[in-house]
Amino acid sequence: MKYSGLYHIPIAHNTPEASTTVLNALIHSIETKFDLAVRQLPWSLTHRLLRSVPPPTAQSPLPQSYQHILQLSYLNPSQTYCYIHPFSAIHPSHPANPQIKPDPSPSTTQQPQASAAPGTIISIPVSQSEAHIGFLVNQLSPLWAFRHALNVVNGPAYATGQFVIHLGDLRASRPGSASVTSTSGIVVCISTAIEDDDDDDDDLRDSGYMSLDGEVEEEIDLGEAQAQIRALWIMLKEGVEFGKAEPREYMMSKELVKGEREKEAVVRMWCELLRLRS
Amino acid sequence: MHELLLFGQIPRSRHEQVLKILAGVAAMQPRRVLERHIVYKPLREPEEPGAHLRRGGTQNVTSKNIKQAAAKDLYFTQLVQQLSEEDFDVSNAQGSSLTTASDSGAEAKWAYEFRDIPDTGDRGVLVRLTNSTDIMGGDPHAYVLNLGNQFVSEYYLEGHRFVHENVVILLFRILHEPGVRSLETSPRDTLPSFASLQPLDPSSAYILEAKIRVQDLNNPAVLDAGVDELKRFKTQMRGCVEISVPDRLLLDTRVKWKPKTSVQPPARPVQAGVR
Repeated sequence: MKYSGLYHIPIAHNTPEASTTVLNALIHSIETKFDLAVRQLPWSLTHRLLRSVPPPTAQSPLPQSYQHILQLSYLNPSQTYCYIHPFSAIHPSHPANPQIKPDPSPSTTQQPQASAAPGTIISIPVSQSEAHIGFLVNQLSPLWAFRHALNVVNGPAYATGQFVIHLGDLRASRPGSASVTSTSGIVVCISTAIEDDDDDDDDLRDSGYMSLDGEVEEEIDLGEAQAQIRALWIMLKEGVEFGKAEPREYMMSKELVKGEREKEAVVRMWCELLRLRS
Repeated sequence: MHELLLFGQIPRSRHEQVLKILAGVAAMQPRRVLERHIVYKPLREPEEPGAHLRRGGTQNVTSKNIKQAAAKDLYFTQLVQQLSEEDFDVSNAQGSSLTTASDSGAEAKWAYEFRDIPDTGDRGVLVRLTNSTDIMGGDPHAYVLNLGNQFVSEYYLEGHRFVHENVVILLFRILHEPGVRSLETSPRDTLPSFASLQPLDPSSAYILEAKIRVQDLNNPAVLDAGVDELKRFKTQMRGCVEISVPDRLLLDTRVKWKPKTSVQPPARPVQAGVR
Protein backbone atom coordinates (compact mmCIF):
# COMPACT_ATOMS: atom_id res chain seq x y z
CA MET A 1 0.00 0.00 0.00
CA LYS A 2 1.26 3.42 -0.84
CA TYR A 3 0.93 6.39 1.44
CA SER A 4 1.55 9.89 0.15
CA GLY A 5 2.22 13.33 1.47
CA LEU A 6 2.05 16.52 -0.50
CA TYR A 7 3.96 19.79 -0.22
CA HIS A 8 3.05 22.99 -1.93
CA ILE A 9 5.37 25.95 -2.28
CA PRO A 10 3.34 28.95 -3.31
CA ILE A 11 4.99 31.31 -5.73
CA ALA A 12 3.74 34.65 -6.95
CA HIS A 13 1.61 34.41 -10.05
CA ASN A 14 3.54 36.34 -12.60
CA THR A 15 7.01 34.96 -11.96
CA PRO A 16 7.21 31.70 -13.86
CA GLU A 17 11.00 31.88 -13.80
CA ALA A 18 10.99 31.73 -10.03
CA SER A 19 9.07 28.49 -10.06
CA THR A 20 11.39 26.96 -12.62
CA THR A 21 14.33 27.96 -10.45
CA VAL A 22 12.88 26.35 -7.36
CA LEU A 23 11.96 23.23 -9.30
CA ASN A 24 15.45 22.86 -10.69
CA ALA A 25 16.91 23.43 -7.25
CA LEU A 26 14.77 20.64 -5.84
CA ILE A 27 15.74 18.31 -8.66
CA HIS A 28 19.37 19.09 -8.04
CA SER A 29 18.87 18.42 -4.36
CA ILE A 30 17.39 14.99 -5.07
CA GLU A 31 20.10 14.04 -7.49
CA THR A 32 22.89 15.00 -5.16
CA LYS A 33 21.50 13.64 -1.92
CA PHE A 34 20.31 10.30 -3.20
CA ASP A 35 22.75 8.12 -5.05
CA LEU A 36 20.05 5.66 -5.99
CA ALA A 37 17.60 8.20 -7.42
CA VAL A 38 16.24 6.84 -10.69
CA ARG A 39 14.34 9.14 -12.97
CA GLN A 40 10.88 7.89 -13.82
CA LEU A 41 8.52 8.67 -16.65
CA PRO A 42 7.17 12.22 -16.47
CA TRP A 43 3.70 12.64 -15.07
CA SER A 44 0.94 15.13 -15.65
CA LEU A 45 -2.02 16.55 -13.81
CA THR A 46 -5.13 18.23 -15.12
CA HIS A 47 -7.48 19.91 -12.70
CA ARG A 48 -10.65 21.92 -13.08
CA LEU A 49 -12.49 23.42 -10.19
CA LEU A 50 -16.19 24.19 -10.22
CA ARG A 51 -18.15 25.84 -7.48
CA SER A 52 -21.82 25.48 -6.79
CA VAL A 53 -24.00 28.46 -7.64
CA PRO A 54 -26.51 29.57 -5.01
CA PRO A 55 -30.08 30.13 -6.17
CA PRO A 56 -30.63 33.71 -7.27
CA THR A 57 -33.19 34.40 -4.59
CA ALA A 58 -31.04 33.25 -1.69
CA GLN A 59 -30.49 35.91 0.95
CA SER A 60 -28.05 34.48 3.41
CA PRO A 61 -24.82 32.87 2.23
CA LEU A 62 -25.49 29.20 1.77
CA PRO A 63 -22.91 26.48 2.21
CA GLN A 64 -21.20 25.92 -1.07
CA SER A 65 -19.83 22.84 -2.67
CA TYR A 66 -16.75 22.41 -4.74
CA GLN A 67 -16.43 19.97 -7.56
CA HIS A 68 -12.99 18.90 -8.70
CA ILE A 69 -12.31 17.21 -12.00
CA LEU A 70 -8.86 15.72 -11.56
CA GLN A 71 -6.73 13.52 -13.75
CA LEU A 72 -3.42 12.24 -12.39
CA SER A 73 -1.43 10.32 -14.92
CA TYR A 74 0.61 8.41 -12.36
CA LEU A 75 -2.44 7.33 -10.39
CA ASN A 76 -4.65 6.18 -13.22
CA PRO A 77 -3.90 7.00 -16.83
CA SER A 78 -7.32 6.09 -18.17
CA GLN A 79 -9.68 7.63 -15.66
CA THR A 80 -10.55 11.11 -14.50
CA TYR A 81 -11.92 11.60 -11.02
CA CYS A 82 -14.84 13.85 -10.15
CA TYR A 83 -14.93 14.76 -6.50
CA ILE A 84 -17.68 16.81 -4.93
CA HIS A 85 -17.41 17.96 -1.38
CA PRO A 86 -19.30 20.53 0.59
CA PHE A 87 -17.53 23.49 2.06
CA SER A 88 -19.04 25.99 4.40
CA ALA A 89 -19.11 29.68 3.63
CA ILE A 90 -16.77 30.51 6.48
CA HIS A 91 -13.60 31.77 4.90
CA PRO A 92 -10.58 29.88 6.18
CA SER A 93 -8.08 32.15 7.89
CA HIS A 94 -4.48 31.38 7.31
CA PRO A 95 -3.56 28.97 10.06
CA ALA A 96 -0.46 29.73 12.08
CA ASN A 97 0.53 26.10 11.90
CA PRO A 98 1.43 25.35 8.27
CA GLN A 99 -0.14 21.92 8.56
CA ILE A 100 -3.61 21.50 7.22
CA LYS A 101 -5.20 18.18 7.91
CA PRO A 102 -7.44 17.07 5.07
CA ASP A 103 -9.35 14.84 7.45
CA PRO A 104 -12.73 16.51 7.87
CA SER A 105 -13.43 14.99 11.28
CA PRO A 106 -14.70 17.51 13.82
CA SER A 107 -11.89 16.75 16.22
CA THR A 108 -9.38 19.04 14.52
CA THR A 109 -9.79 22.53 15.86
CA GLN A 110 -7.65 24.54 13.51
CA GLN A 111 -9.54 23.20 10.55
CA PRO A 112 -11.87 25.66 8.83
CA GLN A 113 -15.35 24.49 9.44
CA ALA A 114 -15.76 21.86 6.75
CA SER A 115 -18.87 19.81 6.69
CA ALA A 116 -18.72 16.36 8.20
CA ALA A 117 -19.63 14.63 4.96
CA PRO A 118 -16.49 13.47 3.22
CA GLY A 119 -17.85 14.03 -0.26
CA THR A 120 -18.32 11.63 -3.16
CA ILE A 121 -15.93 10.55 -5.85
CA ILE A 122 -16.69 8.91 -9.17
CA SER A 123 -14.34 8.10 -11.97
CA ILE A 124 -15.10 8.63 -15.61
CA PRO A 125 -13.12 7.77 -18.74
CA VAL A 126 -10.51 10.36 -19.65
CA SER A 127 -11.90 10.66 -23.17
CA GLN A 128 -15.21 11.89 -21.81
CA SER A 129 -13.89 14.31 -19.22
CA GLU A 130 -13.90 17.37 -21.48
CA ALA A 131 -17.44 16.67 -22.62
CA HIS A 132 -18.52 16.16 -19.03
CA ILE A 133 -16.99 19.45 -17.92
CA GLY A 134 -18.66 21.20 -20.85
CA PHE A 135 -21.98 19.69 -19.85
CA LEU A 136 -21.60 20.76 -16.21
CA VAL A 137 -20.65 24.29 -17.10
CA ASN A 138 -23.14 24.82 -19.92
CA GLN A 139 -26.20 22.71 -19.23
CA LEU A 140 -25.95 22.73 -15.46
CA SER A 141 -24.93 26.39 -15.35
CA PRO A 142 -27.64 27.32 -12.82
CA LEU A 143 -25.97 24.87 -10.44
CA TRP A 144 -22.23 24.96 -11.18
CA ALA A 145 -19.81 27.66 -12.25
CA PHE A 146 -16.27 27.29 -13.46
CA ARG A 147 -13.59 28.61 -11.09
CA HIS A 148 -10.12 27.80 -12.36
CA ALA A 149 -8.00 25.32 -14.21
CA LEU A 150 -4.59 24.05 -13.13
CA ASN A 151 -2.12 21.85 -14.96
CA VAL A 152 1.16 20.13 -14.44
CA VAL A 153 2.75 19.14 -17.70
CA ASN A 154 5.72 16.77 -17.87
CA GLY A 155 6.51 16.81 -14.22
CA PRO A 156 9.71 15.00 -13.24
CA ALA A 157 9.51 12.00 -10.97
CA TYR A 158 12.18 10.11 -9.09
CA ALA A 159 12.27 6.76 -7.34
CA THR A 160 14.71 6.52 -4.45
CA GLY A 161 14.39 3.07 -3.04
CA GLN A 162 11.62 3.39 -0.51
CA PHE A 163 10.16 6.66 -1.79
CA VAL A 164 8.75 7.91 -5.06
CA ILE A 165 8.90 11.68 -5.46
CA HIS A 166 6.78 13.51 -8.00
CA LEU A 167 7.59 17.15 -8.61
CA GLY A 168 5.66 19.60 -10.69
CA ASP A 169 5.18 23.20 -11.60
CA LEU A 170 1.52 24.00 -11.11
CA ARG A 171 0.36 26.29 -13.88
CA ALA A 172 -2.96 28.02 -14.11
CA SER A 173 -4.22 28.01 -17.65
CA ARG A 174 -6.49 30.76 -18.82
CA PRO A 175 -9.03 29.62 -21.40
CA GLY A 176 -8.37 32.56 -23.70
CA SER A 177 -4.63 32.96 -23.85
CA ALA A 178 -3.06 29.57 -24.06
CA SER A 179 0.44 30.93 -24.28
CA VAL A 180 0.58 33.12 -21.22
CA THR A 181 0.26 30.94 -18.17
CA SER A 182 0.80 31.99 -14.62
CA THR A 183 2.28 29.76 -12.04
CA SER A 184 0.65 28.75 -8.82
CA GLY A 185 3.66 27.18 -7.25
CA ILE A 186 5.56 23.96 -6.98
CA VAL A 187 4.10 20.72 -5.76
CA VAL A 188 6.09 17.84 -4.39
CA CYS A 189 4.34 14.56 -3.76
CA ILE A 190 6.25 11.98 -1.73
CA SER A 191 4.91 8.45 -1.70
CA THR A 192 6.16 5.64 0.40
CA ALA A 193 5.21 2.00 0.37
CA ILE A 194 3.84 0.96 3.71
CA GLU A 195 5.12 -2.27 5.06
CA ASP A 196 2.28 -4.28 6.45
CA ASP A 197 3.17 -5.87 9.75
CA ASP A 198 3.39 -9.54 9.09
CA ASP A 199 3.36 -9.57 5.35
CA ASP A 200 6.79 -10.43 4.05
CA ASP A 201 5.62 -11.70 0.74
CA ASP A 202 5.92 -9.00 -1.88
CA ASP A 203 3.79 -10.82 -4.41
CA LEU A 204 0.73 -10.81 -2.25
CA ARG A 205 0.95 -7.25 -1.14
CA ASP A 206 -1.15 -5.80 -3.90
CA SER A 207 -3.49 -8.69 -4.44
CA GLY A 208 -5.83 -7.90 -1.65
CA TYR A 209 -4.39 -10.46 0.67
CA MET A 210 -4.71 -8.19 3.61
CA SER A 211 -8.41 -7.82 3.14
CA LEU A 212 -8.97 -11.43 4.11
CA ASP A 213 -7.56 -10.78 7.50
CA GLY A 214 -9.59 -7.86 8.67
CA GLU A 215 -7.86 -6.98 11.91
CA VAL A 216 -4.47 -6.39 10.40
CA GLU A 217 -5.62 -3.37 8.42
CA GLU A 218 -6.30 -1.33 11.47
CA GLU A 219 -2.87 -1.93 12.87
CA ILE A 220 -1.12 -0.24 10.00
CA ASP A 221 0.67 2.71 11.49
CA LEU A 222 0.23 5.69 9.25
CA GLY A 223 1.90 7.95 11.75
CA GLU A 224 5.21 6.36 10.99
CA ALA A 225 4.73 6.82 7.28
CA GLN A 226 3.92 10.47 7.85
CA ALA A 227 7.05 10.90 9.94
CA GLN A 228 9.14 9.30 7.24
CA ILE A 229 7.69 11.56 4.59
CA ARG A 230 8.31 14.63 6.70
CA ALA A 231 11.88 13.56 7.36
CA LEU A 232 12.48 13.14 3.67
CA TRP A 233 11.01 16.54 2.94
CA ILE A 234 13.21 18.20 5.49
CA MET A 235 16.22 16.55 3.94
CA LEU A 236 15.12 17.55 0.45
CA LYS A 237 14.56 21.17 1.12
CA GLU A 238 17.82 21.74 2.91
CA GLY A 239 19.72 24.29 0.96
CA VAL A 240 16.89 25.14 -1.41
CA GLU A 241 15.81 28.74 -1.37
CA PHE A 242 12.06 29.27 -1.33
CA GLY A 243 12.11 32.99 -0.90
CA LYS A 244 9.24 34.36 1.11
CA ALA A 245 7.02 31.38 0.51
CA GLU A 246 6.18 29.02 3.29
CA PRO A 247 5.66 25.44 2.12
CA ARG A 248 2.36 23.90 3.15
CA GLU A 249 1.87 20.26 3.89
CA TYR A 250 -1.06 18.01 3.03
CA MET A 251 -1.26 14.43 4.14
CA MET A 252 -3.56 11.63 3.18
CA SER A 253 -6.34 11.13 5.64
CA LYS A 254 -5.96 8.41 8.20
CA GLU A 255 -8.96 6.25 7.42
CA LEU A 256 -7.21 4.63 4.52
CA VAL A 257 -8.44 1.34 3.17
CA LYS A 258 -6.81 -0.78 0.54
CA GLY A 259 -7.81 -1.04 -3.06
CA GLU A 260 -10.09 1.51 -4.64
CA ARG A 261 -10.36 3.63 -1.49
CA GLU A 262 -6.63 4.23 -1.60
CA LYS A 263 -6.98 6.00 -4.93
CA GLU A 264 -9.84 8.01 -3.54
CA ALA A 265 -7.72 9.11 -0.61
CA VAL A 266 -5.00 10.29 -3.00
CA VAL A 267 -7.60 12.26 -4.97
CA ARG A 268 -8.94 13.86 -1.80
CA MET A 269 -5.45 14.87 -0.72
CA TRP A 270 -4.70 16.50 -4.05
CA CYS A 271 -8.03 18.27 -4.14
CA GLU A 272 -7.46 19.69 -0.69
CA LEU A 273 -4.36 21.37 -2.03
CA LEU A 274 -5.88 22.44 -5.32
CA ARG A 275 -8.98 23.93 -3.72
CA LEU A 276 -7.15 26.35 -1.46
CA ARG A 277 -5.53 27.87 -4.46
CA SER A 278 -8.73 29.73 -5.13
CA MET B 1 -23.06 15.37 -29.00
CA HIS B 2 -26.26 15.75 -30.98
CA GLU B 3 -28.85 13.24 -32.04
CA LEU B 4 -31.14 13.15 -35.04
CA LEU B 5 -34.32 11.29 -34.18
CA LEU B 6 -37.43 9.77 -35.66
CA PHE B 7 -40.02 7.68 -33.88
CA GLY B 8 -42.67 5.12 -34.71
CA GLN B 9 -45.12 3.03 -32.76
CA ILE B 10 -45.81 -0.69 -33.09
CA PRO B 11 -48.66 -2.58 -31.44
CA ARG B 12 -47.81 -5.63 -29.40
CA SER B 13 -49.21 -8.03 -31.95
CA ARG B 14 -46.79 -6.92 -34.64
CA HIS B 15 -43.68 -6.87 -32.49
CA GLU B 16 -42.16 -10.16 -33.63
CA GLN B 17 -42.85 -9.39 -37.27
CA VAL B 18 -41.20 -5.97 -37.07
CA LEU B 19 -38.27 -7.50 -35.22
CA LYS B 20 -37.71 -9.94 -38.09
CA ILE B 21 -38.07 -7.21 -40.71
CA LEU B 22 -35.55 -5.02 -38.92
CA ALA B 23 -33.15 -7.93 -38.63
CA GLY B 24 -33.38 -8.30 -42.38
CA VAL B 25 -32.94 -4.59 -43.06
CA ALA B 26 -29.98 -4.24 -40.74
CA ALA B 27 -28.54 -7.65 -41.69
CA MET B 28 -27.85 -8.53 -38.08
CA GLN B 29 -29.41 -10.36 -35.18
CA PRO B 30 -31.16 -8.16 -32.65
CA ARG B 31 -29.12 -7.24 -29.59
CA ARG B 32 -31.04 -7.45 -26.37
CA VAL B 33 -31.24 -4.23 -24.40
CA LEU B 34 -32.22 -4.02 -20.77
CA GLU B 35 -31.74 -0.76 -18.97
CA ARG B 36 -32.70 0.78 -15.73
CA HIS B 37 -33.32 4.51 -15.81
CA ILE B 38 -33.26 6.55 -12.65
CA VAL B 39 -34.70 10.02 -13.08
CA TYR B 40 -33.44 13.01 -11.13
CA LYS B 41 -34.35 16.65 -11.01
CA PRO B 42 -32.57 19.60 -9.41
CA LEU B 43 -33.31 20.35 -5.79
CA ARG B 44 -33.96 23.99 -6.44
CA GLU B 45 -37.14 25.18 -8.01
CA PRO B 46 -37.00 26.97 -11.34
CA GLU B 47 -37.56 30.67 -11.34
CA GLU B 48 -40.73 32.24 -12.53
CA PRO B 49 -40.29 33.12 -16.18
CA GLY B 50 -39.70 36.86 -16.36
CA ALA B 51 -38.61 37.13 -12.75
CA HIS B 52 -35.15 38.17 -13.80
CA LEU B 53 -36.57 41.16 -15.58
CA ARG B 54 -38.38 42.29 -12.50
CA ARG B 55 -35.25 42.16 -10.38
CA GLY B 56 -34.41 45.79 -10.73
CA GLY B 57 -31.04 47.46 -11.02
CA THR B 58 -29.93 50.28 -8.78
CA GLN B 59 -30.56 53.93 -9.24
CA ASN B 60 -26.94 54.65 -8.70
CA VAL B 61 -25.78 56.50 -11.76
CA THR B 62 -22.13 55.62 -11.44
CA SER B 63 -22.59 51.91 -11.25
CA LYS B 64 -22.34 49.85 -14.40
CA ASN B 65 -25.49 48.74 -16.06
CA ILE B 66 -25.58 45.18 -14.85
CA LYS B 67 -27.91 43.07 -16.90
CA GLN B 68 -29.34 40.22 -14.97
CA ALA B 69 -28.62 37.04 -16.84
CA ALA B 70 -31.64 35.33 -18.27
CA ALA B 71 -32.90 32.53 -16.11
CA LYS B 72 -31.25 29.36 -17.24
CA ASP B 73 -33.29 26.21 -17.51
CA LEU B 74 -33.14 23.38 -15.08
CA TYR B 75 -33.31 19.90 -16.54
CA PHE B 76 -34.30 16.42 -15.59
CA THR B 77 -31.34 14.06 -15.93
CA GLN B 78 -30.99 10.32 -15.73
CA LEU B 79 -28.69 7.61 -14.55
CA VAL B 80 -28.83 4.65 -16.88
CA GLN B 81 -27.68 1.20 -15.85
CA GLN B 82 -27.09 -1.53 -18.37
CA LEU B 83 -28.57 -4.79 -17.19
CA SER B 84 -28.79 -8.34 -18.36
CA GLU B 85 -31.29 -11.10 -17.72
CA GLU B 86 -29.03 -12.61 -15.07
CA ASP B 87 -29.12 -9.45 -12.99
CA PHE B 88 -32.83 -9.92 -12.51
CA ASP B 89 -32.49 -13.53 -11.51
CA VAL B 90 -30.40 -12.85 -8.48
CA SER B 91 -32.94 -12.61 -5.72
CA ASN B 92 -30.69 -11.87 -2.77
CA ALA B 93 -29.14 -8.55 -1.88
CA GLN B 94 -26.12 -9.24 -4.00
CA GLY B 95 -27.82 -8.21 -7.20
CA SER B 96 -26.68 -4.93 -8.77
CA SER B 97 -25.76 -2.49 -6.09
CA LEU B 98 -25.81 1.19 -6.69
CA THR B 99 -22.07 1.61 -6.42
CA THR B 100 -19.69 0.30 -9.01
CA ALA B 101 -16.38 -0.97 -7.83
CA SER B 102 -15.20 -1.52 -11.36
CA ASP B 103 -11.62 -0.81 -12.23
CA SER B 104 -10.41 0.50 -15.53
CA GLY B 105 -10.77 -2.81 -17.31
CA ALA B 106 -14.43 -3.55 -16.81
CA GLU B 107 -17.03 -2.01 -19.02
CA ALA B 108 -18.95 0.79 -17.42
CA LYS B 109 -22.49 -0.19 -16.53
CA TRP B 110 -23.66 3.17 -15.28
CA ALA B 111 -23.91 6.29 -17.36
CA TYR B 112 -25.11 9.76 -16.49
CA GLU B 113 -27.29 10.99 -19.31
CA PHE B 114 -28.54 14.39 -20.20
CA ARG B 115 -30.95 15.16 -23.00
CA ASP B 116 -31.93 18.64 -24.03
CA ILE B 117 -35.28 19.60 -25.48
CA PRO B 118 -35.17 19.07 -29.27
CA ASP B 119 -34.34 22.13 -31.33
CA THR B 120 -36.99 24.17 -33.03
CA GLY B 121 -37.03 24.24 -36.77
CA ASP B 122 -38.44 21.85 -39.27
CA ARG B 123 -35.93 19.63 -40.97
CA GLY B 124 -38.10 16.59 -41.04
CA VAL B 125 -36.24 15.06 -38.08
CA LEU B 126 -35.79 16.03 -34.45
CA VAL B 127 -32.41 17.39 -33.44
CA ARG B 128 -31.37 17.48 -29.81
CA LEU B 129 -28.27 17.95 -27.75
CA THR B 130 -27.32 15.09 -25.51
CA ASN B 131 -24.46 14.17 -23.23
CA SER B 132 -23.64 10.81 -21.74
CA THR B 133 -20.83 10.23 -19.26
CA ASP B 134 -19.86 6.67 -18.37
CA ILE B 135 -19.17 6.16 -14.72
CA MET B 136 -16.32 3.75 -14.16
CA GLY B 137 -16.15 3.73 -10.39
CA GLY B 138 -17.57 5.27 -7.29
CA ASP B 139 -21.13 5.83 -6.21
CA PRO B 140 -23.15 7.24 -9.13
CA HIS B 141 -26.27 7.88 -7.08
CA ALA B 142 -24.42 9.88 -4.42
CA TYR B 143 -22.60 11.85 -7.10
CA VAL B 144 -25.79 12.86 -8.88
CA LEU B 145 -27.36 13.85 -5.58
CA ASN B 146 -24.33 15.95 -4.71
CA LEU B 147 -24.59 17.69 -8.04
CA GLY B 148 -27.72 19.25 -6.62
CA ASN B 149 -30.41 16.78 -7.65
CA GLN B 150 -33.11 14.79 -5.98
CA PHE B 151 -34.51 11.41 -6.90
CA VAL B 152 -37.78 11.41 -8.80
CA SER B 153 -38.52 7.93 -10.03
CA GLU B 154 -37.10 4.96 -11.86
CA TYR B 155 -38.26 2.80 -14.73
CA TYR B 156 -36.93 0.03 -16.94
CA LEU B 157 -36.41 -0.12 -20.64
CA GLU B 158 -36.60 -3.43 -22.43
CA GLY B 159 -36.04 -4.00 -26.12
CA HIS B 160 -33.68 -4.75 -28.97
CA ARG B 161 -31.11 -2.71 -30.79
CA PHE B 162 -29.98 -2.83 -34.41
CA VAL B 163 -27.38 -0.84 -36.25
CA HIS B 164 -28.00 -0.14 -39.93
CA GLU B 165 -25.20 1.91 -41.45
CA ASN B 166 -25.26 5.08 -39.35
CA VAL B 167 -28.72 4.58 -37.92
CA VAL B 168 -29.12 3.06 -34.48
CA ILE B 169 -32.57 1.49 -34.28
CA LEU B 170 -34.04 0.76 -30.90
CA LEU B 171 -37.30 -1.17 -30.59
CA PHE B 172 -38.33 -0.92 -26.97
CA ARG B 173 -41.03 -0.52 -24.38
CA ILE B 174 -41.01 0.95 -20.90
CA LEU B 175 -41.62 -1.20 -17.85
CA HIS B 176 -42.17 -0.16 -14.28
CA GLU B 177 -43.19 -1.50 -10.93
CA PRO B 178 -46.82 -0.62 -10.57
CA GLY B 179 -48.03 1.11 -7.46
CA VAL B 180 -44.72 1.61 -5.73
CA ARG B 181 -43.61 4.77 -7.40
CA SER B 182 -45.10 7.50 -5.32
CA LEU B 183 -43.57 6.22 -2.11
CA GLU B 184 -39.99 6.08 -3.22
CA THR B 185 -37.38 8.57 -2.11
CA SER B 186 -34.31 6.76 -3.37
CA PRO B 187 -33.62 4.09 -5.95
CA ARG B 188 -34.03 0.47 -5.02
CA ASP B 189 -31.00 -1.33 -3.68
CA THR B 190 -31.92 -4.61 -5.28
CA LEU B 191 -33.58 -5.25 -8.56
CA PRO B 192 -37.15 -6.48 -8.61
CA SER B 193 -37.92 -9.72 -10.34
CA PHE B 194 -38.49 -9.33 -14.04
CA ALA B 195 -41.92 -10.87 -13.84
CA SER B 196 -43.14 -8.19 -11.47
CA LEU B 197 -42.51 -5.40 -13.97
CA GLN B 198 -45.48 -4.18 -15.94
CA PRO B 199 -45.49 -2.16 -19.13
CA LEU B 200 -46.11 1.52 -18.57
CA ASP B 201 -48.44 1.48 -21.54
CA PRO B 202 -51.20 -1.02 -20.69
CA SER B 203 -51.61 -1.93 -24.35
CA SER B 204 -47.91 -2.92 -24.30
CA ALA B 205 -47.15 -1.13 -27.53
CA TYR B 206 -43.53 -0.80 -28.61
CA ILE B 207 -41.68 2.31 -29.67
CA LEU B 208 -39.25 2.41 -32.55
CA GLU B 209 -36.52 4.98 -32.20
CA ALA B 210 -34.23 5.65 -35.16
CA LYS B 211 -31.23 7.71 -34.19
CA ILE B 212 -28.14 9.10 -35.86
CA ARG B 213 -25.52 10.66 -33.63
CA VAL B 214 -23.69 13.72 -34.88
CA GLN B 215 -20.65 14.97 -33.04
CA ASP B 216 -20.69 18.55 -34.19
CA LEU B 217 -23.64 20.46 -35.60
CA ASN B 218 -21.44 23.16 -37.06
CA ASN B 219 -20.66 21.07 -40.08
CA PRO B 220 -23.69 21.49 -42.36
CA ALA B 221 -22.56 18.80 -44.79
CA VAL B 222 -22.46 16.18 -42.08
CA LEU B 223 -25.75 17.33 -40.65
CA ASP B 224 -27.49 17.22 -44.03
CA ALA B 225 -26.06 13.80 -44.78
CA GLY B 226 -27.40 12.54 -41.46
CA VAL B 227 -30.85 14.00 -42.04
CA ASP B 228 -30.98 12.49 -45.52
CA GLU B 229 -29.98 9.08 -44.29
CA LEU B 230 -32.62 9.12 -41.60
CA LYS B 231 -35.25 10.14 -44.11
CA ARG B 232 -34.17 7.34 -46.41
CA PHE B 233 -34.62 4.89 -43.56
CA LYS B 234 -38.08 6.26 -43.00
CA THR B 235 -38.94 5.70 -46.65
CA GLN B 236 -37.44 2.26 -46.53
CA MET B 237 -39.66 1.29 -43.59
CA ARG B 238 -42.81 2.69 -45.14
CA GLY B 239 -45.54 0.10 -45.17
CA CYS B 240 -43.98 -1.73 -42.26
CA VAL B 241 -43.72 0.93 -39.60
CA GLU B 242 -45.03 4.45 -39.83
CA ILE B 243 -42.07 6.62 -38.74
CA SER B 244 -42.69 10.28 -38.09
CA VAL B 245 -41.55 13.36 -36.21
CA PRO B 246 -43.33 13.77 -32.91
CA ASP B 247 -44.01 17.11 -31.30
CA ARG B 248 -40.78 18.36 -29.80
CA LEU B 249 -42.53 19.38 -26.59
CA LEU B 250 -43.29 15.74 -25.88
CA LEU B 251 -39.56 15.27 -25.33
CA ASP B 252 -39.13 18.34 -23.14
CA THR B 253 -36.82 17.56 -20.23
CA ARG B 254 -36.92 20.99 -18.61
CA VAL B 255 -38.29 21.44 -15.14
CA LYS B 256 -41.44 23.49 -15.30
CA TRP B 257 -42.16 26.38 -13.01
CA LYS B 258 -45.15 25.73 -10.81
CA PRO B 259 -46.85 28.86 -9.49
CA LYS B 260 -47.60 28.80 -5.81
CA THR B 261 -51.25 29.44 -5.34
CA SER B 262 -51.77 32.05 -2.64
CA VAL B 263 -55.52 31.66 -2.50
CA GLN B 264 -56.58 28.82 -0.29
CA PRO B 265 -59.84 27.12 -1.20
CA PRO B 266 -62.47 27.87 1.41
CA ALA B 267 -62.92 25.21 4.03
CA ARG B 268 -66.68 25.40 3.81
CA PRO B 269 -69.01 26.92 1.33
CA VAL B 270 -69.55 30.63 1.76
CA GLN B 271 -73.13 31.44 2.47
CA ALA B 272 -74.56 34.60 1.15
CA GLY B 273 -75.43 37.06 3.85
CA VAL B 274 -73.12 35.57 6.46
CA ARG B 275 -70.45 37.96 7.68
